[in-house]
Amino acid sequence: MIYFDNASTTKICESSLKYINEFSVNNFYNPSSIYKQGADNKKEIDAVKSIIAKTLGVEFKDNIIFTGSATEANNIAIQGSIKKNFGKLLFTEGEHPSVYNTASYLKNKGFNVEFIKLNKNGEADFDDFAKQITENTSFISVMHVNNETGAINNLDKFIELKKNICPNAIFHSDGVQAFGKLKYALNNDIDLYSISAHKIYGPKGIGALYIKNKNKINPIIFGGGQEYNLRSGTENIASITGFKGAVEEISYNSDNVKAIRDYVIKNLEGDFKINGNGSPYILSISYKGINGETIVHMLEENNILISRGSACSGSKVGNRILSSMGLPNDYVKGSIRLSFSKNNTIEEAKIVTQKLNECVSKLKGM
Amino acid sequence: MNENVIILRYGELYLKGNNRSYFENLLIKNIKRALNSFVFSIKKISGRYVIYGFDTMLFNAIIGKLKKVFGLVSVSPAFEIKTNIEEIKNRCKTYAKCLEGTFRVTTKRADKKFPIKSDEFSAIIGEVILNENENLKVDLYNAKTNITIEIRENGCTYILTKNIQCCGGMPVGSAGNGLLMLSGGIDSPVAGYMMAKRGLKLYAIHFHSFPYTSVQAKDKVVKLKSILEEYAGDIKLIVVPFTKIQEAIHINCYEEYMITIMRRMMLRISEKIAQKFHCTTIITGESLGQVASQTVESITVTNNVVDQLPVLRPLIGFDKVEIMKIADEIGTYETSILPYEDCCTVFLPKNPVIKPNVKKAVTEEEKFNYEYLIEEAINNIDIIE
Repeated sequence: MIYFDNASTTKICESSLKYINEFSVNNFYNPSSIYKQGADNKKEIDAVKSIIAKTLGVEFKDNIIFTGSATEANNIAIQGSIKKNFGKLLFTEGEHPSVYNTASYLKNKGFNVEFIKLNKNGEADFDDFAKQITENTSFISVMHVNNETGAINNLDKFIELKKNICPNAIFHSDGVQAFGKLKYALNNDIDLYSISAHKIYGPKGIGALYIKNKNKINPIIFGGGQEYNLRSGTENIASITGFKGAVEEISYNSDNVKAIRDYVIKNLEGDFKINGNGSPYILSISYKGINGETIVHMLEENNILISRGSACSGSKVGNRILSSMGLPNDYVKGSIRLSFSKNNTIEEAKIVTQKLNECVSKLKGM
Repeated sequence: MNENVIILRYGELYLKGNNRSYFENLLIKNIKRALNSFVFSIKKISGRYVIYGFDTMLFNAIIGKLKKVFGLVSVSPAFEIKTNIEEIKNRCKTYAKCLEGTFRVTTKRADKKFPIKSDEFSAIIGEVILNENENLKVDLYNAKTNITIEIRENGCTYILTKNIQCCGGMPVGSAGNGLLMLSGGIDSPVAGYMMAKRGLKLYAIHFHSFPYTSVQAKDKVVKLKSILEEYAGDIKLIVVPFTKIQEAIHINCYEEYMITIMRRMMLRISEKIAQKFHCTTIITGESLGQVASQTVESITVTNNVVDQLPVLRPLIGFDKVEIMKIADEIGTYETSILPYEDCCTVFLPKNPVIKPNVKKAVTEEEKFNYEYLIEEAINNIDIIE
């Protein structure tokens, strides 16, 4: 089987599994317990946080919390930051549903929420951002790497403008598709940055949120006060150490996936467009006049797993992100996403490209 | 405080004269099947069933299952005790502590040997209850709690306070077997529910067009089948591979007639499958005028290919909102609206014909060897138990 759906999730690595096993069976103790075994696990959590902080290019100063997912991290980042007197909140139209739907929820609650358009490359349109940002802006969320197109937003550029116009606004970025893949030291003016383990060969069910200043954020769930009172619930020591296993294996060597991506693009046939051109790990393709979902199932029959590019099948629901990029409707429905990992090979890329071309050619005749 | 038995009432079966025992046996069988995950016993007392010997912790779960057994009109939780005046009084005393507001007591005395007349006994028990709980008041016309004391000839007395409505209808299986065309939409599960309620044991047929439709679309139909099974008992789901037929229609036939031809193919296959599984009727969720393929003219042209069996369309006169309401009540709606493409939306023509005619449909079908494809599809069905 060929797995080209790594932006969805990845296969867990051996070292993650080793830690999960160790901290599920031998060192399973509650990190909040006051005996030594508990205290040791608490120290272990801090050690993992230090490693993550280092990978983010920041100093660890109790500024990272673990969450049950990046979705939860994004929710805490946004909902935990909200104050009654907030001015404008700016989000991009390319955000993952965990950010976009939270923003829509706040808009429905009466907050002044606006969305920044995407340019044709899938990046948040900087001119539109410049037009929409005001002195009254209180919160900005710009995702780092788009999960559907791989488009990369130059966060530093957005932050620079923000510093000039509304220096006190909180700046959040969803870094799920960037962390561990795109080498980037967090800009000192990023307030909140969300990451996930299972996109980088770690376990599912564990995410983390970098929080520059804990005083600016409130908990959204309440309980025993774990994670500096910002994310109550017994610390998931097994998954946290599993996260460590994944982080320890980060290499930033993307030559292999770049070669795969380039090969596929070079050898594709049919009437298609490539959406965005950023992360080498993600390739979004839109075919004119055929159904992306059918392509996914045809490849599935050939033991090739990819994902469709549109959020939902059928003619009723389109794709928010691709439409926002200005992709015509007859291409939107024909969208698929290939996403690669360090485990993929050029040989796999050759098979996938050939099968993909065959499917497209058959469907074109339908 | 949990009651220790459940009394089950059935109504329409009474109408069936000499066939009554046949219907009753089916009903008992269906009750036992609905409760097959519980430990319990069942007995019959003059025109009712009584369920006993179950774990009272599971009371609500059992009632929930019974409410979905067609043929049952209502059920009542009850206390079953030996007919003994003191014991009845004691039980009512305990019960009085749980009551609030107003109440009335009604005694039904089937056992005429019981020494106290019904009204008199009701008054005695009423007094016992009032003495036990001074906050209560008697209200004979609009009481919050109606306590019924049934003194039976078998030496048992039942004390009951609730009457829970069930679905009614006829025991599943009493009307034979029917093949439901189950698409995954809102209507067809409701159609199946309605015909099962009238006693048909259901088989279901689904047309699967992988890779144009997804595994999720099929799983959705399997899920709908399992929801329907809560009412209709076990349903065999026959999944027909339909991809080649759809492709052939798409390549060969006039676009406006695609849906008409597709429906005709589905009905042809359904009739053959129905006969194979000894079903004496085909059930569809069609509702007049809802879509282009459900006009009188369209139904005439599609119905034309079914030679032997009646096609039942229980929703023909229903509005969409009425169908949605039933779907919601029986629990299929939420699953039906999951957004997976089904075979009816693949290759959707821009302007499907609203008033097709048989002659034109036949001409279109002659453009490809559908008989071969139908046979091939039937030979490759997948049966999901």
